[in-house]
Amino acid sequence: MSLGAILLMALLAVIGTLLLLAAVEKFARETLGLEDFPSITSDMWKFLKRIPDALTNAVKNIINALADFIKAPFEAFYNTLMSYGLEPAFAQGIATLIIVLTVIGIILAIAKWRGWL
Amino acid sequence: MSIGTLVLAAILIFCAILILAAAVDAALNAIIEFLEDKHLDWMIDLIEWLDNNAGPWWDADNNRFRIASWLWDSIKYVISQYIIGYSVYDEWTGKKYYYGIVGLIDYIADQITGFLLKYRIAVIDITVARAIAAIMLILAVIGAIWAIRKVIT
Repeated sequence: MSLGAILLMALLAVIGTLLLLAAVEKFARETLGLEDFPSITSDMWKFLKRIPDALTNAVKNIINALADFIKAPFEAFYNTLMSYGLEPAFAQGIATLIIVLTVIGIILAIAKWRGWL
Repeated sequence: MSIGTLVLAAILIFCAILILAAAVDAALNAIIEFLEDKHLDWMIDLIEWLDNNAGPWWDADNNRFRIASWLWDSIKYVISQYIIGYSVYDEWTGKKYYYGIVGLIDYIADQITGFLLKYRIAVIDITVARAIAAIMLILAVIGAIWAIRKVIT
């Protein structure tokens, strides 16, 4: 079974469970007249909502860590040049130049590999 | 029997138990209201005793049974703590603890971010830095010459 199919099934299962709980709640309150029946649907929705919230937070943290990881060597290079007395503006310029050249190099390599050039 | 059928059966049984508990609540509360109206001494004593000694299945403010709500609160606690879960950092032990699905998601994210943090290049030796700077300058000069020649020709 593919990942897409599993995700779709999980989504349908969540929707099905919520609909079932809502139907039970409505039946208990309106048909049976049980006014003190607990609000199971909204409570369950609050719980289930914590999963996508956790996923969003996890993706955000990973993206930030990845950005720090990519940025780290350039920052380290800049700091090293600075700590050995190079002018901040010059150190920053060289570090920026390296970043620009690296990005251009990666783009060119991808373009060559894909046959766009 | 598949997992889906088992889960569906568990949800239906749980709903049936909740409806039953709510029905018991309604019946007991109706009896209590009826007896309260009679102003019986033993009934007043019983309610007072329940107010002081009963567990969370008794609503002491309104003098009512709340077995269904208590049952749902207990199930909610289990779902919230152990199935949906959470992650928490313990300052005393310096460790992070993970529980349930949210804990698993947080654990995977923490492993990835921890790996990236551990293996990122935070320090560059001055010799390497000088070499890189020199190469960059040479490349910049070559690039400039190439660009000037391109413009001229």
